Amino acid sequence: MIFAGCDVGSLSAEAVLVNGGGEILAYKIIGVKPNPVVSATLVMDSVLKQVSLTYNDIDYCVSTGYGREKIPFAQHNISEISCHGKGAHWVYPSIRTIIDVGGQDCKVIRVDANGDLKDFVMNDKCAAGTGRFLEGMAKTMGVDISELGPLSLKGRTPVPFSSICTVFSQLDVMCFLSEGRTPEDIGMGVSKALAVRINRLVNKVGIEDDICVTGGVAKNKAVVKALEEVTEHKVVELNVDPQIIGALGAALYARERFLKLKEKE
Amino acid sequence: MILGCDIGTGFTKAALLENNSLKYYTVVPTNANPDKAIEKVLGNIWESQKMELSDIEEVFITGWGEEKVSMDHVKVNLVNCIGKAAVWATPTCRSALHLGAQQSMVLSINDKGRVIEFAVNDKCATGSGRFLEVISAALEINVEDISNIIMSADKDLTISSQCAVFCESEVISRVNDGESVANIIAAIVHALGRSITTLAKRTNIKKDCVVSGGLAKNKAFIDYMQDLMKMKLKVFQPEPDIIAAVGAALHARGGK
Repeated sequence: MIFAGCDVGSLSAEAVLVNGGGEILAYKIIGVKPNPVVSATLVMDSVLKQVSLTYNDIDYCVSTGYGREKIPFAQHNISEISCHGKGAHWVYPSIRTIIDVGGQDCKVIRVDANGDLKDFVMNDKCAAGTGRFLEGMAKTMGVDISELGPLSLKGRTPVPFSSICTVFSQLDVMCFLSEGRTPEDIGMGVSKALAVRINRLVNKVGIEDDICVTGGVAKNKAVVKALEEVTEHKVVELNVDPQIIGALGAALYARERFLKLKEKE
Repeated sequence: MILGCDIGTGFTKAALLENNSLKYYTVVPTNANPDKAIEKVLGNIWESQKMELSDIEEVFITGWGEEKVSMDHVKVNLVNCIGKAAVWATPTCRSALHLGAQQSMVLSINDKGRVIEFAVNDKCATGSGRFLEVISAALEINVEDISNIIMSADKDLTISSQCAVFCESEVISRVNDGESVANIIAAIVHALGRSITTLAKRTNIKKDCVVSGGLAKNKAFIDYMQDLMKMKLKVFQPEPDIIAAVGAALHARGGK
């Protein structure tokens, strides 16, 4: 049996295929196209190709993310909040708090021992505290977003930012560069600023061990380290790509729904 | 002769006052180096006024770069500078709106010309002049042309994003959807006007109200603000950007 999950976000789209036991068979991450249906189709085409399967082989598919209602090949759609809870809990059953930092929003999700949603809080109004903040800073510093984490880990004294605003922080970065501060120290300051902002959100719903970080920003180790410092909690490292947790959760929901439907029959 | 300087993150503004009247002013880019900016200011003063530092009795400095200036000077408070200069320009002034690139400020002034209350937004770009710069860059237009472009707007649009960064993306997708630049920039000017009005409501805004800073030069914006606030705004003359520099120089003994 093959179950599929598809997560179309603001900046990237992910697809995951799992088998009847919920094990990951294949996954794929791509940058989004302007149209969510195009993005979903491209990413699903690509993941199916990896394991030489076709759409006909999928027993059930669940979509999630911004464009989740428009995905033609999905039988059902579920919010990305539930999917993140589901996915993270499946990978690491003792997870109770998921900090999902995506390209354009940030969510803190609390789940119970069964992986069901308990509470959540979200910021999608302000770029500070999201991946867009990191992108803006990396662009101003002239470094690739993938280099920012390793660079920032080498910082010694983090630079202080005057506000949380992404636009103003970019001007701060320009000032720090012209003052001769090293990119390492600026990167470290950027990581800390982002962590402080995310922590404000964490404080709204509370935190319970174990904790994991998902979404593209989880790949930046300096941010994860800064989050551990500001929250004073250890962050568990997941053994799957943190960016596919939403799509994985969707695939697991697909599996659950399919098995339930079968039972009824 | 008194020199007042306001060293902002973007520009350094300088005003030369003699017996409380404005003799000369100049605006130079700060380029993150306040000492160099002051050097440039002194160079400009020498070129146009044939005056050296020794001809200047006192130097008063305010703004972001004040601490970084090595030249001898007196440090003055930005809010007081704006209050003093607003009253200097308009003696009947009871409030002032200072709309800089990175800071929006509203001041309430008593009948003795003293600042009694003020509120600042320097935390979020959406309520600042920088917002218009960011969106103008995304739309590939000049900030100075906004007033002209806006005249051809023919529809009220709603911009749903509240963050300048997210607005930038929204604006680009609106253009891709075929929306006119005039309608988009009009919606942005309105959003900015509303957020500054929200700030203004945090103090008691009374007539006469002096408006200064780079945004004060944007006619379309000021017209909209006048409608929103149901009040005539007096733009600081001769140059809305130099209000704090003038106010700094007004701190000299005998200045009011």
